[in-house]
Amino acid sequence: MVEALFVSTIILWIMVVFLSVLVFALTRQVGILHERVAPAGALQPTTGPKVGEITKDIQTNSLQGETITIGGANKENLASLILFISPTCPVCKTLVPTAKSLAKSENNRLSLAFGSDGEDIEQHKTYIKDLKIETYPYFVSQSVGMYYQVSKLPFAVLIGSDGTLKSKGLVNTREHLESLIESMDTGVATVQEYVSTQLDSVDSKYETSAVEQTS
Amino acid sequence: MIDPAIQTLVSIAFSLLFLIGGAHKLSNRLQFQQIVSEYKVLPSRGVGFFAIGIGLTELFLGVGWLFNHLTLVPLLSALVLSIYVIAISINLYKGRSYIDCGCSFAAFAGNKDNGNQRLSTGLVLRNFTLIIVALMAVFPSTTRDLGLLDYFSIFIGLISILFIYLATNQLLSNRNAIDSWRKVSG
Repeated sequence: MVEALFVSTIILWIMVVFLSVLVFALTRQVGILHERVAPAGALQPTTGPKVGEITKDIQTNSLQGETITIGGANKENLASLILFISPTCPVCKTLVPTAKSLAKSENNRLSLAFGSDGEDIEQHKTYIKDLKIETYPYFVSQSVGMYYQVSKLPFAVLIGSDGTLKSKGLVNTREHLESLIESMDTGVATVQEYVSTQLDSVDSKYETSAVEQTS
Repeated sequence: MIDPAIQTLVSIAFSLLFLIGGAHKLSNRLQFQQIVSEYKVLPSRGVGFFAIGIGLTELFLGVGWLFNHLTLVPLLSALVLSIYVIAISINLYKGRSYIDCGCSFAAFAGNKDNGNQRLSTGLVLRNFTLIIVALMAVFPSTTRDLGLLDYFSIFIGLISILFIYLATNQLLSNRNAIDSWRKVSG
């Protein structure tokens, strides 16, 4: 009996150590993932209005029957997130709920609208119903798409309340969409710009420490 | 009354914690001084003196824990850990959770991105747990001769505690990274 307890204690201890190492290895791996995964941002095209430019206000009609203005200064002092989608784009369908939740959590400073292109209005109306986005303005306008040079979908444009273009780009994931808001908050237009400023600051830090060490 | 095997395990674990912590703080004195000054709980003139004082105190406690029967050492350890808890809580209350806690061994070894542990309520809870465990050692132990299995348990127990402690610190660091994400409902 005592021998059995002795053996079982040893086995249990070995398993406890093994599990502790395993838990630590797992947490470390998660930590490394956090460190290594670079921030992902929306792919920004070089054509169309540039970030920081004042956008042209374009009047259009939403499929809900209201006249809406895309671009220009916002009377309600809200930034506008315009997400260009299409019934024929499969990624758009998965991104719409993300855009809705983002707009909901930022509703004190952001309004969301959907834009599209195409002649089959009935298809768009069914699409609105399917995606449950009846409460958000949905417009079908070629001129808005042309102005922002929307070539690939889903494409998002973030316009500040003063009418300046804060950010834009091809968005495929929640992270891409969030990067637009991050870009508005930080004033850094793209992830590439952010990474290069970070690298510059690291370089200057190393240069300073090298000077300190050699002096 | 606690079992002598448990008391020995706790004593060696605390001894290692304070010895390694104290040595780290003293060997990276300038970085640790910077971390202490960022807490902003001390006048700037006393920071250097206090930073060395913390390192030396931890070394003293580390040695003290090796002597099983000193009740003063667990009490002093609990006091030191309580001071850390108060300093962290003050900064958390002020919303300065972004500063480095200075409690992760890798944090001030020159690699800022790898192991930098910021202040959090999790850190306060971790220190509270350490205080409770330290105070447990104040209770007298039962008189029992330790056998071979006891020493085996203490040795293996120490290895387990080391990895669990490292995993807890890593989880707190991961939590910091997750907290920096944008909060989106749904």
